[in-house]
Amino acid sequence: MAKQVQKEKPKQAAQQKPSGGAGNAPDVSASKEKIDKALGNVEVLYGAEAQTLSISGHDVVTVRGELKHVLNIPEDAQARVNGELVDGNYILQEHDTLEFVKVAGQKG
Amino acid sequence: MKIRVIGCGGIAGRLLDTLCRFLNYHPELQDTEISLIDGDTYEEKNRDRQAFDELGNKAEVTAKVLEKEFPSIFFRSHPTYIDQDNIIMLLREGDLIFSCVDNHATRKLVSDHCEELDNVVVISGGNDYIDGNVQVHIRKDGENLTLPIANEYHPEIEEPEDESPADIEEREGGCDVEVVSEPQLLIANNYIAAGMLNAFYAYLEGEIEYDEAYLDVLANKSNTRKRS
Repeated sequence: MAKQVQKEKPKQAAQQKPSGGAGNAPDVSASKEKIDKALGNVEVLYGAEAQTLSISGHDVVTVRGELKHVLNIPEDAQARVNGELVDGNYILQEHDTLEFVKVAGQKG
Repeated sequence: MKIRVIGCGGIAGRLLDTLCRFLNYHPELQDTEISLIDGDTYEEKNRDRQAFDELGNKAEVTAKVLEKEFPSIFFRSHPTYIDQDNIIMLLREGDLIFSCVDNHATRKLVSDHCEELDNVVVISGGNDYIDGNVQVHIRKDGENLTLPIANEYHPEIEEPEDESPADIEEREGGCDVEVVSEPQLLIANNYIAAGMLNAFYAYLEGEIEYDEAYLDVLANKSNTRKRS
């Protein structure tokens, strides 16, 4: 059973539209803090590979697309976050462990 | 200790020499019995990955070689593929099983049977060309301490698409069937065998803390998973 998809993405400073106008300038330091918080570390596993990446706030389908050639992740590999099966819309949280499950070796 | 080794191909060939040497000279493990189970026969084409001094059934030929070298261990050989009918006799309460088979259908059969036992340890290895995995199922007093070999993380084992050699043999009317298989790398067999032995030693020491390990030859990396 796939984990409940998180409906709302965490608000990322990078996605916020600047309000514009000299008298209404965006608070840069506050935005940076939000970015740092949004892009927290997620451990990504596939087979013997393990990488810690600053990708919290992104959804699983985006991460899969970005890493499929780097880690050779097949399209049909199960995605699990902290052991729970998730679908591609799941938004990664800081300290999550995302595993694309590698199939068992067949031969002997 | 009663050890069963299912499949005497590339992985088992790398595993057995080290396992038997370790047990034969271990001061507390010299009464070990090792049963080898395989219905396949050694052929000349196997020499690129397997060592044998005569042609014949793999379980019988291997047991004959090992019993000369490791006299403290009692060897049995079962020249048969494991199947629904004989598994009750071959895998029993209290066994420690090394599954070195080359198909998921047999892994599923072994896994399901072991879930019906109260106390059993299964260390299962499998490889593709340059990588593979090792799974450890520890069942104690009727409870799974780690995940069974067929589990939700591995639907390819829970619902195997391949056939066991016993099924193929039955379908072909008991004839010895030539199975065309993917090429394998001896070095990958060796790496998986080493991973299985690592799991065995960790189990003996009471320090096994994972359900599964992945191993990759090219990257020279391994990584464990705690799933249960």
